[in-house]
Amino acid sequence: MRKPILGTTLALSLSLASHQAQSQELEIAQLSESDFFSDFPVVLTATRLKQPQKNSPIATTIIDREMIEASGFTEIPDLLRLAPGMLVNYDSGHVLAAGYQFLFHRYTVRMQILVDGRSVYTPTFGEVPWTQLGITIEDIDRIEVIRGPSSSSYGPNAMTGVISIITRHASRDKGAKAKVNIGHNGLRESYLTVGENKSAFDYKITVANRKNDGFETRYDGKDVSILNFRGDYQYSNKDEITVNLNVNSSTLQEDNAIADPAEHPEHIKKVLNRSQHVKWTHTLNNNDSFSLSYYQQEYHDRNRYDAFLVIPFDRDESVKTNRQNLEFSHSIYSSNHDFSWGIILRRDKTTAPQYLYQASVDTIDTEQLFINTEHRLSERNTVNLGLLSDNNDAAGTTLSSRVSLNHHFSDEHTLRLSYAKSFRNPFIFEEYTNYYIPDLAPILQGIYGTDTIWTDQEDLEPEEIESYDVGLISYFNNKHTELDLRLFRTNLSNLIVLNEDIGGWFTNGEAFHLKGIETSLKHQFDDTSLIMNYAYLQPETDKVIYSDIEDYETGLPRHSGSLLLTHKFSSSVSGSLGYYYTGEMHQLCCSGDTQAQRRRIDMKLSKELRIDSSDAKISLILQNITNEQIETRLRNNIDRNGYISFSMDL
Amino acid sequence: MAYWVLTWLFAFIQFSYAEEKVLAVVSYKSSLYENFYESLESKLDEKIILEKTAIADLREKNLSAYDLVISIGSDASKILSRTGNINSLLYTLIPGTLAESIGKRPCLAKKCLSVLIEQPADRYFQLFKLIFPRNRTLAIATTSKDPGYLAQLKSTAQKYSTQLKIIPIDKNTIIARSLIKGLTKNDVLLALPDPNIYNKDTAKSIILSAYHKNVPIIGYSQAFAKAGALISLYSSLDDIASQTEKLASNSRGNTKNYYPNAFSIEINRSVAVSLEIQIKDINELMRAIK
Repeated sequence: MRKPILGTTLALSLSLASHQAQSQELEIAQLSESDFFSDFPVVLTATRLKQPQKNSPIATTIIDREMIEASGFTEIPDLLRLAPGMLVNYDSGHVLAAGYQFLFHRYTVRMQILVDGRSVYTPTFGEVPWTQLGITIEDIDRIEVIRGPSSSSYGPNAMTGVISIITRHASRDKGAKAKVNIGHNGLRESYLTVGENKSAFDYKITVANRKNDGFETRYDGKDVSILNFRGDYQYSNKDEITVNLNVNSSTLQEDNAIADPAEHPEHIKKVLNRSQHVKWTHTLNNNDSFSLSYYQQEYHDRNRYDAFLVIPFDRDESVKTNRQNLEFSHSIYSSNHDFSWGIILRRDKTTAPQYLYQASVDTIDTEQLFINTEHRLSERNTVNLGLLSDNNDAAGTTLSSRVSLNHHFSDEHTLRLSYAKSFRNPFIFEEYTNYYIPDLAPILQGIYGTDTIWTDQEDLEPEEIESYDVGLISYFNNKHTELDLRLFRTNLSNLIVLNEDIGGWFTNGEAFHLKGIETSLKHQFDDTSLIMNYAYLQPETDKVIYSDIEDYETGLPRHSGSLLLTHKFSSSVSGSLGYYYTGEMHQLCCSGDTQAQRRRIDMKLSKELRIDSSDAKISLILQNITNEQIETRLRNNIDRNGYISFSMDL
Repeated sequence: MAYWVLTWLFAFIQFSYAEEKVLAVVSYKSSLYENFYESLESKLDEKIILEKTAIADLREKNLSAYDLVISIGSDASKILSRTGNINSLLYTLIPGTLAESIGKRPCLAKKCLSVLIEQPADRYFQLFKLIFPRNRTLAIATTSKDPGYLAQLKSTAQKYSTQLKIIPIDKNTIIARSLIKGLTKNDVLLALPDPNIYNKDTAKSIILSAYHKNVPIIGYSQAFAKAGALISLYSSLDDIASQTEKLASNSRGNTKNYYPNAFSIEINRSVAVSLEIQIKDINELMRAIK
């Protein structure tokens, strides 16, 4: 016989249930034993969790929803200004480029760009169609900017880093929401998102239209229509299927700010970008899950027009690509050891009537096998190891690697030492160049002795990068202040460059190295937050073939940085101030041509409202308020810009 | 003399091994009740003769022939609370709402006791303080407007020097959105049983949104930690069966409703690592919680 338990504890203890019984008889029936013993769907699988920064083998910046809202940016690449070392530039009103540490032109950005794990660079030129991603800023939950070579996790093209865009889970956008942006320069944007939950199925549909007139003195306006769907189906408590469908249709004004207007007359081009992505995640237990995903994406740039060079000719710069990707990955997490491995099979296919006129190959197959481990040796030391083997039709086999040691001096201070080796495979246009314009062939033959503008004359090897990294991650003030410091030396070699003469070709061999420092400081006051980023680069040329030494020595900005200050004035009024700086660097257009340092100051003021019991928000955004000449080619000076944004839950 | 000693000894032995007849009534056939019954059966003393029946077969039983009737689950408890001719009645595996409701009516048996599924809130406040000794606010979302309940939450918070934030939820709104709107980065969400807020339909969006806001969740059932909460404190079927066994073996207490003395803790280590929260060993936590 044992003593009855609790006694006095019961008098002090409470439960929601017992009090509801006293006051809300109706609710009694709702609480049952199944509420305590039924399983929920597994929401956070090990693969979906973010690795804590202090254990990460590489410097990572998270641009979260609050920062996205506060920035007031309307273009996705502009958000990347909020990460140290990221460079953003405009080639025209609708052609944007972003790169880490250097950005020599809009193509071959040497970064892996992922949207929910889907690689979006085009296989033809390696550029990222930022305007045609098929998602809107409103769809984004967060952006993870991985700063440093990451081919050992994300494959070649993650040569200098990774930008991983993660969209919002469908269950987080229930109901309907509309948003309108109206402003200077013909800015007219409208968004409508509808989300609903049907038992185990959450879905969300976004419809958007985005227009503006481009830069003042150029013919570069855009009219972009976006339709996307995300569905998250919880097949069982341990199985989830996610489907993403995107369609992006753009009508774009095209000019060429440098070349002869007759050779490149103003015209309209149309771009259609579609993707279908399905992913199955199965959770074996709390710490063990695998996923299988397949995606297909088509990018069709229809750009054919009449031009004139000595004679009238038909210029067809159209490009059509198709990527299919199948990926399996398996992650096992334990108290002191995390392990993931996977296989990726990819097929890239391209047709480009004039750029790849009679190219011998139009399809590249890739197979990858990767292993990543994190081993916590002790409370103070964590080791990360990553290996990826890539077998690619164009470049053969490479083995990317990364090893790092993170030493935690305390819970607040971590030192990271890492080494990484990554590669970039040549893109289809680089490896199988056959730039030929039939109408001009006789003329070129007569003048230059060759009828092909650029041609394939050698087998290219992958570009290489090696990086040595020392990082410090520190938290102060009860973790309200966060400091991320990175010192690095990076060696780039075997770089692929183009001999731009008529009859020219791509070749390997140029090399340079970079030393530098990057720092990011985040501070959170009560109602105020401050984010400051700064990067210093010191490049030195090791080998040039066609480029000018100056391209590497002065083509990169020595200094760049950003600051975002946000403040909540009251429960319904908030504001932000953004400052963005880039030192003198290459123009996107022209090898050797640089553009001066640029500053940009943006402001945003928002008020939250209640209209007929619906939440609404009105914002005034001013961009480049000091009216400095900013990014893009010399003729792309945009004036001070402003717009009003209104959003409302319907 | 020897005869009397032997007779007394025999009588004593007989008394010591006097069999007690116990009837367990399950609400209906389900793996939940089956598992609970098996656990209870394995714990009961050998001198207890345990029989099992379902509500549907109750008419065939003479309830007064049993020393104790144990009702397992809500449905069985509701029916037996209206049934007379029972010696002792022990409700188990029932939510506090039902125990309170049953408690309002007179007990038709000689004695009525209940073993609840829930935890005393004190345990959650202690757990919170053990994991987050400072600088965090404990947030509790509720659809209840009962001032008594809210006042008791506040007084428990005071007892454990805990900064408490109550997020009132209108059950006619989009639950997850209202809840998440009320959370800030410094909060820890304590999920207390409220089927209007936490159910299969809402769990996904609440857990995901809280995670993206860096808000850890303390859950009231094992399912929370499995699904993505930081930690769960709950009583397993085995824990509740142990409590039931204790009361079945000795029902001399005066208290009507008993929380399970035993409880379990499950930590989602992946979530803890990801949110950069260091949690002590489970045994250490359990020892520290009174």
